Amino acid sequence: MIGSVISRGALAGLTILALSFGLAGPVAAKNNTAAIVGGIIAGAAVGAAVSSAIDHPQKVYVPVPAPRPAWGEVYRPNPNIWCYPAQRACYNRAGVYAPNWTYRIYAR
Amino acid sequence: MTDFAQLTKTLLCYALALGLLGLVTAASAAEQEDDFRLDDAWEDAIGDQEPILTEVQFAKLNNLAFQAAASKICSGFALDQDKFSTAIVEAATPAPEGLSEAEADHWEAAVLIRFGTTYGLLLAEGNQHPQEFCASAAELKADKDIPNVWQ
Repeated sequence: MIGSVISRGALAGLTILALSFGLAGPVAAKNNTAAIVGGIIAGAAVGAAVSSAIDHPQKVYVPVPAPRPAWGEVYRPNPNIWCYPAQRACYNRAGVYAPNWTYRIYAR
Repeated sequence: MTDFAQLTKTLLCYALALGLLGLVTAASAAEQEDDFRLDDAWEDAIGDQEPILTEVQFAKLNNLAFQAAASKICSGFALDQDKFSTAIVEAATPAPEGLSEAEADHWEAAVLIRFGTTYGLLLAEGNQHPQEFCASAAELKADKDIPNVWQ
């Protein structure tokens, strides 16, 4: 188990995480899980719009998801930092994970 | 040797020296861009990851996995259990809306697997070069503008 590898406290954190997700609340959805998760994250509510279009024709606008960054793509906020958009992580000149820059570039 | 021949010889020497310098510089730059990061392992592990979280959430989860790894590799970086618990919930909030109970379970599992994968990869990177890895952790701990979950 992931938590036991980290520590007992970390496990408690993950347990809280699990409990909080369990309370997220069930809502009817019938499609493939991955597709639904991806679609909702991208803001595309296709299913509901299509099901109601038969009786009530209407234009449905679906936001196009942002393209996934290419894996090899690199962003250099300064000459000593390499940020990898696909990983949402930055590394310093030595190639060591740079949490400060990861936070500044991607986490706020 | 004529003056022209001497000049030609001198210029060739300069050209050779500049060429060698260029090769050394290029090699150095290549090393800097691909040192300790486990590029191929990262790509294999998360290269085709579904967008189960937002960009901000992924980045927060990365930083938490880094801090969890640092707590194992570096001395003086024990996790604060309450801070870690709160932060990991915050990192994955809000959960996607509109999921059935079963789908929410799948999503939750996917998030935990992603966290564990990231944690493992950072453990691998950190244990390869602990001195540099822990120096990076020390930079985070010293930065008062960026939250951390260590004691």
